[in-house]
Formats: sequence, C-alpha cells, structure tokens
Amino acid sequence: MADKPIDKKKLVKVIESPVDFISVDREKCVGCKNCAIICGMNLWKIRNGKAALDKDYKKYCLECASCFTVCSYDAIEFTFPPAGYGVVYERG
Amino acid sequence: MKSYDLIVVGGGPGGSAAAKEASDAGLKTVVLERGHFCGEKNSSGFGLSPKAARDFDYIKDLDVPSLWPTKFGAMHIIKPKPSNEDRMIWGFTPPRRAGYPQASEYMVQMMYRPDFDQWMSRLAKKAGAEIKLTTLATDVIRDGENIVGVVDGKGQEYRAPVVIAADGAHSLIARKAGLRKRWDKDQVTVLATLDYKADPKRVQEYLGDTNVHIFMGPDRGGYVCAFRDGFHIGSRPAKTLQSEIDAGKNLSTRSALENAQLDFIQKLIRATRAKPAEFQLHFLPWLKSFNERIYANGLMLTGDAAGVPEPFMAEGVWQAMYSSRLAAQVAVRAHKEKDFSAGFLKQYMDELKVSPVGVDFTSGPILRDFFEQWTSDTFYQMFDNLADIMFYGMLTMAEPHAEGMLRVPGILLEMLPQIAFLTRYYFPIAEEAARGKVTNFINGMKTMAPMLQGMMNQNSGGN
Repeated sequence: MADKPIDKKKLVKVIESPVDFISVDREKCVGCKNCAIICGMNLWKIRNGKAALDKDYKKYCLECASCFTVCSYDAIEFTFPPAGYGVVYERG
Repeated sequence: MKSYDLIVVGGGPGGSAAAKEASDAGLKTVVLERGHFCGEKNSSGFGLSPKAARDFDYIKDLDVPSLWPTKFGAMHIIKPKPSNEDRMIWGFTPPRRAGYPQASEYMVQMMYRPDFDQWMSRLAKKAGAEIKLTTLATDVIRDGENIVGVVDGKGQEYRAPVVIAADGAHSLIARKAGLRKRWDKDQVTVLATLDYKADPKRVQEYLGDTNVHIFMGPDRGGYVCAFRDGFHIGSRPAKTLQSEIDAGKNLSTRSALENAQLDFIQKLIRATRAKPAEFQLHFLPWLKSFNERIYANGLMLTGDAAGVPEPFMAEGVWQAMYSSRLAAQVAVRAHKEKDFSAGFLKQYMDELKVSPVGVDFTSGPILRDFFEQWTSDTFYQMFDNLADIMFYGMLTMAEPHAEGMLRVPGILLEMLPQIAFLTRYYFPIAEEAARGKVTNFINGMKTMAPMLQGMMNQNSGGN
C-alpha cells in the first residue's frame, strides 16, 4: 500500500534570505563529504573535490547547522538568516 | 541604545520562563526573538512532561488549541525490513505509583510548538517583560572582560548587566562569548519530522485516547504524535551525527520518510484524510554528561544553548524552562548583590548540576547507549519471545491450555541472551544511581529467596 513519494522541498516554507548565511572556505575544505551526507535537504554536493552549496540553498535550508557541526576542517561557516527571513515552522 | 536589568535572548519556553520569573521579581526585562512569532523556528512538536506541571504552577492554566494530554500510548514492534507490518502492539498508561498527581493523569501533554511557545510568551509579557520579535541577537557587547549586553543584526544595542542566552542548540551568543565554537559530532542529533494536516474529528475518532504511537524494530524506529488537527511522523530514536557520518547516510531523514510507509501510518493517513503539510529538521544537543561551561561574566546559557536535554530520550522543554527559571533567580540575586561576575553566576551552574535537570545525567553515557539499542535485533527478539510467552504459552487459544502453560519455561530459557543483554545495561545504571543500594537489594532478594520459594510451593501445590 505504498504512497507516492514525498517531495521534501514542497513541504518547507522559507522566506528567502537576501544575504548568504552559509559559506565554505575552499582552502580548508578537503572534500570529505560529511556535509553532503548530513544535509537533510540534500543542499551540498562535492564538485571538483570540494564542497559546494546548492545555488538555491536560501530557499530550502532549514537552518539546522548540521553541516557546520560535522565539518572537521572548520571550512563551513554558518550564522542565521537576518531576522524576518529563513524557515517558518507553522506546525512545529 | 536601550538599557535593561536583564536581556533574554530567545523566545522559546526557556526564554519566556526566565523572563516571567525575572519580571515577576521586578527586573526590567527584554526578550529578543528572531522569529515573526515565538516558536517559528522550533520543530518536531513535543509532549510536555508532567514535571512541568509539578514545578511550574502556571502550567495548570495551560489552554491552547492543539493541547492533548496523552492518557494512552502504543508501542508498535515492526517486523524486520522490508515489511511495514506490525509484529505486535504494546500499550502504555500513566503509572499508578507516580510520585505526584499529574504523573498519574497523563504521560505527556502533546502540543504544537507555536501554540505553547506563544502561550508562554504571553505569560512573560503579562508579567511585564518586553518582547521584541524579528530581532536576531548576533553578538555580545563587552566592557573589558564583562558581557554587558547584546547587539542585533541591524546594529541596535541592548545593554544589561546580565544576559540569559536561551537561543537554542546553535547559540550564537555562546559562540561569541567564547564558551564553545561548536558541539562535537557525538554531542548532537537531528530529528526529522513530517507534519500532516488532518480532519480533527477523524483524528479523534480514529486514535481515541491513544495519541502517541511509537515504532520499534530491527534497524528502524520512529513515532506518531497527534495534535488535534494533525500529526507528526518522526524519525527513529536519536543517533548522533557521528553515527550518521559513520554510516555514510542521513539516517534521520530517511527514517521519517520510510516511517510514512508503515502500515499503521498509511491507515491513519487514509482514515483521517491527512495531507503532508511540513517537513522539519530538529537539531538538538544530546550530551552524555552535564555541561559545566554555561556561564561567564554577565552571561548564563540555558535550555538547548546549555545542552540540557537529558541523555536518554533527549527531552528538552521542561529542562529549558527549569534551567532558565533558575538562571533568572540567580540574575535577581546578582542584582541584589550588584555582582555579575562569573564567580557569582557560577552558582547557577552549581545549583543546576544538583537539580533534577543535572541529576538526570547520572549514568549519562550508558543511558544514551542503552537508548540506541532499542532499535536493535536483540530488543526485537525479546518482544517476540514475550509475545509467545503470552500467546503461545499462557493465553493460547490454539492448543490445550495446560500444554501452553508448559511451554513457558522453554521460551524463558530462550530469552536468557536477551535478559543478559538487559542486565548489562540495568545494573551499571542502577548501581550508579543508588551508589551501593542495588547490591543491598540483591542481597535482600537472596535472603528472601528460600522464603518466597516456600510460599510459591504452597500456592502452586493445590489440594
């Protein structure tokens, strides 16, 4: 009785931040894939051996900061979107 | 620049509990909340444990639309993958032996976070606190070695001799104050949840009083919590981010999506005409031991920012309220003594450590390890055998009853590995908690054993 697959991206309400709030230092990144493994929204890819954020990440990031936490090389910086932007959980 | 007696960063249940306490005691208090409303950034729904009603008098007045006290819960043991079927269902009920009345009335009070967080915020406001929404505190203001306020993302300064940072797991204030850079991968977990919106009447009719369903099985786990007009499908019990990195895949998100396919949940979705409404990720600290780095000159960390969720099931809202109220009480004392130094604020950490919040970290490492084992094959085998003791043994309707009874010892013998597995966790935990009393208990049982045996012989001997 399988249901049709759930599209996570259609189930998030995010007010897109006008500024970046996650950045990656390509000098420090060793391409270990930790960020790509941990992101629940699949917003990280490894391109040319380095971590790269999806260009639409500001529309889908749920601000859990897992990527920042699992980076063993201090290559990912995470703050929060400015007040008034970012994820809105109406039914959290 | 604005001046206050106390700045509270974060408008969750912790921040509001602190602000209410401080305002009631006469401190001019402001709460800075980055969301448009309190609870906007908080996910995963929750059950407020009866400890909150025991410790916070105002909880008795709680009245929000999604509030649903849990009188019964069900634990579904799911067959090994790829099956989505229940192997069996067990029931939970509040204990008769509870230490205070509320703990016998309900197990938890289920609510949506925006409902509860805004209710708490209104209490803080009523007590006199100023609530500033859409305000993200991004840095601390220092005067020499002291933290004397915070600055928001727009550059607005807020000054106070003491700051309570209740700004969540990824506390910017803790970072800026130098209390930590980030949690370790083994100190945090992520819970993924899928919210479904449903017809509240059908939800009530279908679930009755059993509004919490927990799922366990070999390598799978999760839950459904119902909140009147909808429910959450949650991912497997917490594992740390380290374990997900080791596994090379995002276990929590996969688990929530897989759980939506469980037979029980598919029936619930159909019966209540439910539609998926929100996908959520809830990042939280899950420490093995009590975190002492929660104060500095002019600053106290509370709630998730302090890492207080308990080491077994990672419950955190009551802990946030308790730690935050305590921090507010220390802030009031600090004002009386005009001493906001780390040396003075250390009493917050000292008192929290010996409080029920801190005591819950007794046996932390083994408790957390034990919790992770609940989705193991050994647990599945144990429940499988327990079911057979009941329904192949004592209550069989397939064979003559006396023959069924005779099978029980054999099944118990087969359970020895599982019993040994349980005692491997139980005795170290109990011994640490009782500091020697367990040994006495066992000695007592040994002394009583011949007497008990005599009684059993009498009772079972018949005429």
